[in-house]
Amino acid sequence: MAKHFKGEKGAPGEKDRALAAAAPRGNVFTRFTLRSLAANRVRTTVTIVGVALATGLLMAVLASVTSLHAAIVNYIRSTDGVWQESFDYTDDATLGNLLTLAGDHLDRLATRRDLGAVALSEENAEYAGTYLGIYDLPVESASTPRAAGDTDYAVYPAPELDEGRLPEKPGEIALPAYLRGETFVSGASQLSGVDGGATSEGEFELGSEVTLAAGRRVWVSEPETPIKSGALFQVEYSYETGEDGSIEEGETVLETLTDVGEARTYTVVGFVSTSYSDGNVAYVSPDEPAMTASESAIGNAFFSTTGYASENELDQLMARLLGEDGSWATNSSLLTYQGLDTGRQITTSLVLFAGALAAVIVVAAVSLISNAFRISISERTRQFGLLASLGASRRQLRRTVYIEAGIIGLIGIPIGVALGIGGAAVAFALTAEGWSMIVGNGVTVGLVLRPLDAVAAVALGALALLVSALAPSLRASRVSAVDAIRQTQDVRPSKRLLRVFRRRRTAMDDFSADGRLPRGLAARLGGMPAFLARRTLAVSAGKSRAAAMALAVSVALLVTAGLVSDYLSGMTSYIDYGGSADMQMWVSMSETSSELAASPAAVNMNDITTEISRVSGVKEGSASGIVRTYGSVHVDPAGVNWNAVDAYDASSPYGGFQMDREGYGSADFYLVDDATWHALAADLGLSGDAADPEHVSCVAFNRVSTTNESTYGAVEPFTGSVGTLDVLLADLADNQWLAMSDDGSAYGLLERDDDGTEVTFVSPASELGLKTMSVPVVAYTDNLGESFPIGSAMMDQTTGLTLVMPASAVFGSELEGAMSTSVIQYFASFAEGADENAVIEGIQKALGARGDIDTVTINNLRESLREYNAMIFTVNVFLYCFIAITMAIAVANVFNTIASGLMLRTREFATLQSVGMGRRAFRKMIFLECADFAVKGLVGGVVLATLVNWGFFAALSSSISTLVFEMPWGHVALAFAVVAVVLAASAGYALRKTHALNLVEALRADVL
Amino acid sequence: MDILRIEHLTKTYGSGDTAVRALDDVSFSVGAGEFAAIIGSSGSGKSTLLHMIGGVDRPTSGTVYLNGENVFERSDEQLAVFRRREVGLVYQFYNLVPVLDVVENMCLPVLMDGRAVNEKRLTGLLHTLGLEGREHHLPNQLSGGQQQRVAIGRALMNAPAVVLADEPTGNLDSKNSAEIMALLRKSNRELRQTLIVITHDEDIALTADRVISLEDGRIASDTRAR
Repeated sequence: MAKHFKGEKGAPGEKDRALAAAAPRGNVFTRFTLRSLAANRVRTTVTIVGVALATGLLMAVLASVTSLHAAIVNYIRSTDGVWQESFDYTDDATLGNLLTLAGDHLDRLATRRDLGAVALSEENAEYAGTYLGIYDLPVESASTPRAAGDTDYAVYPAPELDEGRLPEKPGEIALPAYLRGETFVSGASQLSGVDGGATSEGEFELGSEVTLAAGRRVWVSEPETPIKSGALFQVEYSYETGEDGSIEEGETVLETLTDVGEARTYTVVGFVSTSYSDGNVAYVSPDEPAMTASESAIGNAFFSTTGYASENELDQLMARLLGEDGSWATNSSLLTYQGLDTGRQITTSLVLFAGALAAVIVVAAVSLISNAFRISISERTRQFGLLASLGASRRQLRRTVYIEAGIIGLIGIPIGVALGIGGAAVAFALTAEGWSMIVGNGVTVGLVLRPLDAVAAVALGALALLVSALAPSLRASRVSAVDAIRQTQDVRPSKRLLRVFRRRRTAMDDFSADGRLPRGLAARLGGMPAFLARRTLAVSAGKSRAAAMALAVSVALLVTAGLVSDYLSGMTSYIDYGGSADMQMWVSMSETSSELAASPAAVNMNDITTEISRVSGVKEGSASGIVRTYGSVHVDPAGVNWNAVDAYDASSPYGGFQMDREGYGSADFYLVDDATWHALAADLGLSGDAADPEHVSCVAFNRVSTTNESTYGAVEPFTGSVGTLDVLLADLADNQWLAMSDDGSAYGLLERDDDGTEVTFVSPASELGLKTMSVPVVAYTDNLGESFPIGSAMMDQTTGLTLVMPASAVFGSELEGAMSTSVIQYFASFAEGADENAVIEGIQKALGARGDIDTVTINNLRESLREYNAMIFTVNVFLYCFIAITMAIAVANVFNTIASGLMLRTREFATLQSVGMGRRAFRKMIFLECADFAVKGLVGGVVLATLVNWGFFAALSSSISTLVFEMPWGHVALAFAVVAVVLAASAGYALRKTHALNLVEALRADVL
Repeated sequence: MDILRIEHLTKTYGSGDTAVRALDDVSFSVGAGEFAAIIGSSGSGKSTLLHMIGGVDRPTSGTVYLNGENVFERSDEQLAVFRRREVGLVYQFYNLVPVLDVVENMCLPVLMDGRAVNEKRLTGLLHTLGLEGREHHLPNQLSGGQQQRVAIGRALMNAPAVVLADEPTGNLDSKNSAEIMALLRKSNRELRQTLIVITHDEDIALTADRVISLEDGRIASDTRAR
């Protein structure tokens, strides 16, 4: 400390006054703080890094949320437009009223006309609907302020072109794409007494002509009230039960067409995609004259506003404009995301999940900052005492702490904000493609910065810093000058220790009976090092609690990172697209038979895969074939996971699991070609007979999806304990088959009577005395590996057991007759750089030339795979960013706690060594202290991690039905290992640092 | 007989331009039971010399023989044993272990050595040092003078051949100073312990058998009383 004041002139007495008046006071304390920060570079750096990391993480999370929110809003804008409210009008005065009523609030306004509807002949109505509505294209009014600057998207989007262009002048029309290639013919329409008003010559293509006569759709009951020309056909359905118990369906048409104008001819200039909001509509140019007999058109106005705080205010405007009974439409999804519609809660699992994550981040950030800061201050307790002895007031001392907080914040927080923005920008740049696919409609997703986010991150970081500085500042101001001068360490013995001392009477009470050891269990077990370690922990109970807490937070953070990874990858597994293949070929013969032996496309499987693999542009080794068949099996009931079956029965949308309690049930068999079986065997680590495709065996695919409309889930139907199962070799008549009984209680023989009308359950399978063939189960798995062409998430969409078998072993064996073919599929992937269309054509040709296959349909899965992979990649980038930052925070936290704690005790260590403590004993002492922290940290960490895990579980169990609450012990072990390693490294660093200080120096070290 | 022989002891801190030669070829011997005072201005190398003798620091060159044995031929682990058995160190700033009570601090070297605490010696020392009734207090519950007595007790507990004291009274008032010096002197006389004291205090220097004066790391004078 003396060093710091060497620069000051005069004796201590003068210094007093200098502090009080002469010298600029702030300066002295600021300089003092700056110097102590500079003197302890490592600790200062770690503190600043901690503040920066915490602020950065907050910034990144806020920026990501804002960016995704903006992307979703842009998605809505691009699909629905930026309009907030919409209404219909027949009198242009209504528009004028809007301008008056909304005033400055009106931002953008677009109008279009509903010109009428054309009735289609019954023949055309079958595929094109009862009407074709005619709208003109929306036109934005140039007279509104457009102040929001939100001009990237249309007020109301023009229809999306499929081909050609939009109409530009009267007489031009763009038809919905579903009419391409069709012909309008005349005839009666579906409306009684109304003829179809649309005709054309030849099939529709660009340049062809269409003749249309449009009228106005009105309600039969209220002929004055028009119906939107693109709206659905207004029909009321009724059901009546007749005398014989049959149900009769009746329908009453509620609308009709009036005011039909003269037919006009239009030139087709484009085809457009049908939009959900407009309906079955053709578009004409804005200059098109009215079409109905009365030359009336209904205006549709769409407008956006600024300055309204809620949807309620918008509604009030509409009510004033159109009257309380008026009707208007609201772009509700946009209003929801704009925060105007507060009535609707967007509470999905993902939001809750993000909430739990944000809570963890905030807790971790505050813990890190306060921990770093607390240590930094307690390290300088004595300096404060000295300052107090020199006349610094308590307020001045407190201010010193806040100055330090300020300096650290001034450096750390901007770095953190920059780090967070930079990190988020990089993450978004890497994942832009994936996000675009997730959001959809080609909306580009990029980093969106909102000043408010930066302000929030800065404020949260500063708040954490302030909260962290509060306790140390109070402590700093309470340090007594006497303590400082006497240079006693900051030791606060616990009451318990003081009691222990008080109970000891004679000098020898401190020792064991033989006088060789201090008293106590620790000394007896581990000698002097253990005794010293134990005593240190007991004396500085508060400090060691804080250290253990810091380690616990670190363990919990790392476990959280693992949990996030598990839950996210768990969620993506439900959207798993497929296996490894790029192409999926559906193969069939014109005369299809369910008999396996009668399908050459199945029997010649190995030849066909070879043929496919020879086509140029097919990736080597990627061709594979699968014949999907079904049959009946018997599994030892002990090998069935009945809890899983019950869970399936409860939530599957496909009804009950196809297996009775005695283990009889139906199974899907996936018969694969030799190469695929070899690859599967290699992936699953099978060898010998099990890997031989000529040898009968099966792999049980142990996963059945329970995903339904509202929740995701999958269960494992096998316990994995039985080594064989029996395939039933039933020889049945044509009118017999094996299936579950109606009540789902037994699997057995069903029979249809001679009339073919009634089906009876004859007998359970267990009583039929059926011949069976035993098939060894060589593996149970819910993952068929990288090379299997079908993805797990596709295969688990089933109602019974799924078994994979080598086709070669099945053909020619008794099993052949026990299975019925449903689908024959081949798969292949593209070689790198191959022309995808040429490859598909090549395969078509090669297979067509064989003669054993009639039709081949080839699906190119690559595009969907690309989308899927981009989505997975996006999720992973964010996941790994999160893990990396949490790791950094956890490591910084442990380092701060352990290294600083040890470095503070430099002098004590030197004393111990100077009175003859050996290196080995010293290391043992440190090790025991650290081990104590580690164990306490582990216990605390497990408690915290359990809470976090429970939070995640609660958030996600609402959407994943089969989620089971499990403690991730693997992650806990891993997290503990990481913390232990960092702890050891920090202790090592601190000790090297203290050793580097020469013992002599350390002994004199004033720790000032 | 010379219990302590110092030969050509040199210690350099740092290297290159910033190298400081704290001790420069210092040689002298001290006999058993001798009381030597080392004086000199600050920075003259007094403390460095004391730390070398105490086995706390290693010299750049030169040797220290205690009882005819070269101190620095020992490994670090052996040096630790040497420190707890052969020498007693007393510092200006006491350097007590803050988490141990008075008795535990005093007996630390004995316990480190795994030997039994000699009860008679302990109670005798506590009595001599005037620490009775303070046995189970922590250092921060003691006054400065009391703390220094504990440090002296720690140095004497093992009855080492050599007691080294670095300004033992530097932090104390004159009454306490006199008492501390009397204690050291008593132990020096009664147990024939060699006592080497670094001091600024002329009164203390005058009571010594021998006064070695250091200047810029060299012995400037070496005078014996009587």
